[in-house]
Amino acid sequence: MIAIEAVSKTFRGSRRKAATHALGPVTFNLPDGEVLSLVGPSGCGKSTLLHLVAGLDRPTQGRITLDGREVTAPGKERVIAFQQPVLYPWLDVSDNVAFGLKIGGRLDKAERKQRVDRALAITGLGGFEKHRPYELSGGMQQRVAMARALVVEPRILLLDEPFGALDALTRSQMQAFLLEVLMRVRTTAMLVTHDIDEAILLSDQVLVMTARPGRIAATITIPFTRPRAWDLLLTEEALHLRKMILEIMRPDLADSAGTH
Amino acid sequence: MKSDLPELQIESIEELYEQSPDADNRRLGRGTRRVIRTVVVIGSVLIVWELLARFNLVSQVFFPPPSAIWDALLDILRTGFYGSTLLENLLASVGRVAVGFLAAVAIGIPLGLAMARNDTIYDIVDPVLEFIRPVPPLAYIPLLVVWFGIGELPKVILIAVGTLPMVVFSAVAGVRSTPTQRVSVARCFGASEWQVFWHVYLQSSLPEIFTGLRVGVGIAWSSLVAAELIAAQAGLGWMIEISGRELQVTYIFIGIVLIGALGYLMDLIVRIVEHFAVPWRAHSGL
Repeated sequence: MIAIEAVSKTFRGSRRKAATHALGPVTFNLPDGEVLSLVGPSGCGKSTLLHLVAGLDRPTQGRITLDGREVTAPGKERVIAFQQPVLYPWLDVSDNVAFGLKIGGRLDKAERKQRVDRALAITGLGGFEKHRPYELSGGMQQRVAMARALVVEPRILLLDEPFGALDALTRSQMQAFLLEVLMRVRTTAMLVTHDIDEAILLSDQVLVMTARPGRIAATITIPFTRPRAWDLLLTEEALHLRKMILEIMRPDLADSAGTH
Repeated sequence: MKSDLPELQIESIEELYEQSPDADNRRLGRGTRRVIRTVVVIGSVLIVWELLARFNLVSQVFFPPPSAIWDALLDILRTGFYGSTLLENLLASVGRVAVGFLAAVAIGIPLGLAMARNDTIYDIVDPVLEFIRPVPPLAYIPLLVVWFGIGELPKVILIAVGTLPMVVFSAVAGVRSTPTQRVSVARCFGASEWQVFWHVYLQSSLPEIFTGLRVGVGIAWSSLVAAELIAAQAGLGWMIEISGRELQVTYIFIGIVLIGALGYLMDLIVRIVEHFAVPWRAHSGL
């Protein structure tokens, strides 16, 4: 279980600019096997929070623990995938996917290849092993980034607006893809997104955050059972959840609703 | 509704192109047209020069016509230049540039990478290089002669010292321009400092390093003529120097053209190496 305990983050200022209180304090738990989404206005510190969990930065106050041990540095039990795929252009697809395993270095070559092949199969990249990243479309590149993260079998998968840079059609395909992958690997995941539909479709819990400094405005449990399909977004219940989240994020909308 | 529109029938795409007024240009291809353009312009300049000199509109002593330069080149190839063959002079120069340049690369790249990752090394080395960089190589010649005499060593050192700052700065710039997310990804997988350096920084800095090497080849060649002023007995720079003293302008032109052509060739070699070492260069924005 991941526990976020009264975590806040202030970016130090300089002579020319004031310090920025970006986040918190926030407190919540993410139980094993659950998918949690963070939604909120731009600059509310949701990406900052994800980076803190990844260990890429340290909280100003509070602490983050994974199974009771405090997170102080990056580690491959908490792998992050960014909005950009950030692949290494000098490696082909299978070497990109193998990157994390190679860094860890504990597996022999045969075992590494077996796990890479499995990750490629799960992410639908079979047959593209020898392609260079720049020979792939944006959606395919993001799949490679996912495969690279999944192949090390992280305790928790951190996704920082992973589909934010894709066009609408590719994004919906990738959401369906992620839904399926999460079903297969049953990993714990924390997802930062702007897209309310994406949050509802993929998560068990949605945390709605306030504007900066980001705090938790509401925790919404998504009741849909898995396996899920994208058309659950068309149900009355999903529409209701969507309206609820929107109204928390944009109280001005709630006031004006019905007057037009 | 009746269709009284004229029917448009095209048998094939090729036929469509046949009908277009640009058909000939399309068939030639963009690359060919650009080569033709270059050849036509340079050829015209040479012809105008030849005519101006032939009709004595400019002095043949100062501007020997291209045909005279060509004859002189054949002459040198046959009889040599002051007791040495053209090939010997050419190889002497290429050898000096190659050794000096490779020395600068062998020292410069590791030094630049170390400077980029270690502030202490950077603070010590950077001022020295910033000091060396703007001083023209000519200024070092007396000092190098006092220290190392008049053999090959001072010439090679002059070329290496001139080229070194460019190579070092390109390696520093390469490391510094590495996208932070590439580093974050590696650190997420638990990479050590050394692994991050080896797997991410080194690879990411290759495009910048190769740009530095190409500029460096140019600097190495410019330092050559200066180096060959140090009591040389052979080399293209030496040929130019001697010919200048004797007002043999045709030989000066031969030397200049050869230095230019060889510089171009060396740049081409660096580009070929780059093509195989960094095939992803055009796509480094990933």
